[in-house]
Amino acid sequence: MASKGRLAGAAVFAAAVFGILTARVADLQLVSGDDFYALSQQNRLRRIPVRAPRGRIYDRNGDVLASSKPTYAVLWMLPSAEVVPAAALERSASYFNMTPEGLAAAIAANREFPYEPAEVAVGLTPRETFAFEEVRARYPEMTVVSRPRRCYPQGPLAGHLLGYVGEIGRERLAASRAQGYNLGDTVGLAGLEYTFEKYLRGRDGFETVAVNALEKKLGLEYAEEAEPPRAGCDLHLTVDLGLQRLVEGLLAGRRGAVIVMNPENGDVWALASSPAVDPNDFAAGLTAAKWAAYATAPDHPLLNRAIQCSYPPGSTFKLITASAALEEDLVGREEKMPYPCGGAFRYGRWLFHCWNRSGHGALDIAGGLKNSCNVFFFQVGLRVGIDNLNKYARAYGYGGPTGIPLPHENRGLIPSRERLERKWGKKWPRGEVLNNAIGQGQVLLTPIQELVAFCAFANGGRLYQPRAATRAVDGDGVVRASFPPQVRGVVALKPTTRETMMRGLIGVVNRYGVNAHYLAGKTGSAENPLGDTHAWFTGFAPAYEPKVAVCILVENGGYGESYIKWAKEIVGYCRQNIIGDAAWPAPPGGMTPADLEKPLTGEGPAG
Amino acid sequence: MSIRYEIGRRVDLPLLGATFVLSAVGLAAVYSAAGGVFFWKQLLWVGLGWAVLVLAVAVPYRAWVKISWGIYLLALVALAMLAARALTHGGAAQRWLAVGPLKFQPSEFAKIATVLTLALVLDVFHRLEGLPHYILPIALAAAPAALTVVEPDLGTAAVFVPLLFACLFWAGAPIPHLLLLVSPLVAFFVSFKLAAFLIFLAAVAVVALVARVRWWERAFFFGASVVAGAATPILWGLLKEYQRARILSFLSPTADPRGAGYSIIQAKIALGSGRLFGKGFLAGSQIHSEFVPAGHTDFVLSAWGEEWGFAGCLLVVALFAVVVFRSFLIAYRAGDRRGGILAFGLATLFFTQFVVNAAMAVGLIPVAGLPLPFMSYGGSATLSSFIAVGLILNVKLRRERVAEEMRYFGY
Repeated sequence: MASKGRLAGAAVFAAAVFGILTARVADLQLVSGDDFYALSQQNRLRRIPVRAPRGRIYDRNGDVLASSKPTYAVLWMLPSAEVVPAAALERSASYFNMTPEGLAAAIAANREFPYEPAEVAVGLTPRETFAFEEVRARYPEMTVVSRPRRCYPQGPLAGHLLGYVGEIGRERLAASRAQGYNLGDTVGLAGLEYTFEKYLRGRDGFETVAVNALEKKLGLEYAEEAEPPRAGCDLHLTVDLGLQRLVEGLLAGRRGAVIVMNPENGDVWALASSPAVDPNDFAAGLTAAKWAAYATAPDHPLLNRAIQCSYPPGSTFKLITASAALEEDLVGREEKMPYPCGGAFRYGRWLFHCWNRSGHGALDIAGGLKNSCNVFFFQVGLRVGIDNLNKYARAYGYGGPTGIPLPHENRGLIPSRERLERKWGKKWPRGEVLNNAIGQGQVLLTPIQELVAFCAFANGGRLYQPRAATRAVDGDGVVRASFPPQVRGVVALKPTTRETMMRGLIGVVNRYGVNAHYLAGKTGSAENPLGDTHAWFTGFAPAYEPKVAVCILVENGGYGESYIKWAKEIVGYCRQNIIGDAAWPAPPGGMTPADLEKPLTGEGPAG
Repeated sequence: MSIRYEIGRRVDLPLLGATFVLSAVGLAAVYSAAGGVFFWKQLLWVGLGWAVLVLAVAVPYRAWVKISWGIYLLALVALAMLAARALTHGGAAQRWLAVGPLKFQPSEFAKIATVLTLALVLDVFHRLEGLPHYILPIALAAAPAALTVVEPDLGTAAVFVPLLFACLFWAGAPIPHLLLLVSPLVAFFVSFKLAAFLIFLAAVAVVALVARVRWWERAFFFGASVVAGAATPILWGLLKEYQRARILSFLSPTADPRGAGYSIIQAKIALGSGRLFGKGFLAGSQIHSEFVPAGHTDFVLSAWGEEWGFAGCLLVVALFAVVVFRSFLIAYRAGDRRGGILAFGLATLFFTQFVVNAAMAVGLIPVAGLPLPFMSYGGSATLSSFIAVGLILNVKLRRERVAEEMRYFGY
């Protein structure tokens, strides 16, 4: 049983606390009561947000890809439409050519708490703002604040890469309240704007203002409270604006994607998807008509084809088939397949055709790659088998995201025994592996996956995570975050494997005109259910010391070799303007492109 | 022996009267701050409150205490459901559980269930001589508190701490023990200033030496304080800036969405502008122009103070003082140990909620978001307050009979 002492202790403690609270209430109500009363009588103090501009986005040379332009918003300053004199509502509504009910609804929709100012008009140009300022004295219930709006001075250029911004939705707002978002805030909704949101967004400040400027100003500590806005960090990209313009020009009028990358560190120099989108359309709030135009367009312009769409890779997949064959020692380096290409290959009761119906004759693996001979690769595919194809596709990063800093990356699809068994059971048709060996059947890749894999081949096996931004720099020039190149994995390739395949890959390009930049690569013409073949070309240059890699995909574009000239133009630009002619490596021993097709001598017997 | 004397001996009329006036004051404040719909709903809750009060009195409190385990587990299950929902959904706080058409806040009832269970446990195991004896009571309070933190509702979770210590205090735990138990918690708060932390550690060392505990227990508590104090700034330093901001906004979430102090300034202006006698019923300009957020819930005292002035506030303070002091007295005169702990724990519940809410409204502590018993709008809080008063009255009503039984049966 508790003692009398404990009762007394508890009572004294409680009495002391009650006393302190009473004293505090007396202090507020009796000592400072008159001051607070005066304040409450003229309570016109409002804290209004001062919006911070988003950080700018620069290309690798410091050209501006995204910035902010000044626009203005009109704020409704009174607490609630219900307690406001009807006259104020009516005269303000008439200024905007609205009904008072419409204005009241707009006020309610644009704030979360009744004591907050509400935006009733946004996106005012300076001219409209001056017009309002002239008559502002007649509308003491409203005031004008600056509201920077995102703009993209290059128009649709790099639109898919940059993404776009918009007003934060109610759902996302509820989930990200802790990060300090408020209603009406602008957030990145796609592309780099989405991925780097936390660096690009600024921190809003506030000002404390008296609602009615005509009333005498009270000397109050609160009135001086203010905090300037802090602009978001500037983002510096790896992209080259001139190159981006070049590749978008090449793609114009077609559906497809082009990506240019530095094979030595995974830097994205250009990334284009066609048809293009103009992110400026979204910054001002998309009109219903524009949204409908984007959403219902038959060629789906909102899709970023470089990363969000996967396609059958066609012959470009022979990179995997050949790597598996040589690495697993299933095919000798200069071994010719037992069945020379006569235009078709019989497997069971099926006849598998080569693209060249008159045949290639007997080829070794470099020749098979050079001529893209299907009959050769059917036989290689049978030796390699479905499991090795799966293993090497996985090693090159296929079947999973590359980690490019863009949202909603497609994973693609790679051949696997499980998938075949799920579809057909244990007795799946063994001919599937023939299709897979030449990149048809159940194989789907995104252009970015393909380019990353070719870069890994080009640089000796390092699988880079594509990098689009190098650093985020705040307003004081302090680097707040830097994003170094990242190696995601290593493809173990023997030097002999790489050398053998390289002979084939440069041979591909040598077949089509002068090869001034020693470009090597693989074409693909992928059959698909949508019509003409999808055209692929993925390659790198110079073959002896790759400095630039390109992936070109044109939907229903016909034959891949038609686009080699694009690749040459892109490589030429990079050589001139990004790497510099002086830094461009010279061919070893003055070899010509044709010399690079020949096997190195003195390296011992093949196989 | 007159009838009046008999009633006065069994029914605590001051406590009952204070409850009645407080709920009437609350209805007036809700009507003024939020208007008709809220008033009628709150009137319904108050009416239901009197009904559950009668129910809480009708069943002998020893029976309530005996079945407290069941009530406690039920509350834990409800809290766990909310916690699970909060962990899977993220985003908005999960504080309400829907039962048919009604939504209720399990944490409000969990407070009472915890006091009931502590009364049982501390009565049955009445030796409080060393650290191991405290493990079960601490666990009983920590479980609902932890689940409430997850919801997240930090203000309500924090209330379990004073409840636990009040019950231990009334159960006769030596003061040095209580000081040692609370020391790791205090270490979190003093650890931001090195000098304060060192002085605090010295004090813990002195208390640990004075306390009649084993050596390893002294070492344990001293070590716990050192670790808690040392870890806090290090952990804080390791956090990224946005993580800190998230924690800070977690500590004071809804009331201040537009940055520091705006709502608290408006609430202070409202209260202060009431002066001696207030602006009059329905005449509070701050409240009626919606400058004060949550004027019918968390900031109901600001609304009341604006319209009824210092006189009105003094009335509210006096009424809460009556509730708390009468409950203390009932605890002191209880017929048995568990009745005493029960009444004292519930008195502490009222005391804590009132003090935290009032201190927040007058700007003495940061915004914590606790309702003011009987006055804030809200079904769960109102019902649980009436239940608590009913249990306290119950202890008084049966004290002679219980005391007699205790003598007779010798337990």
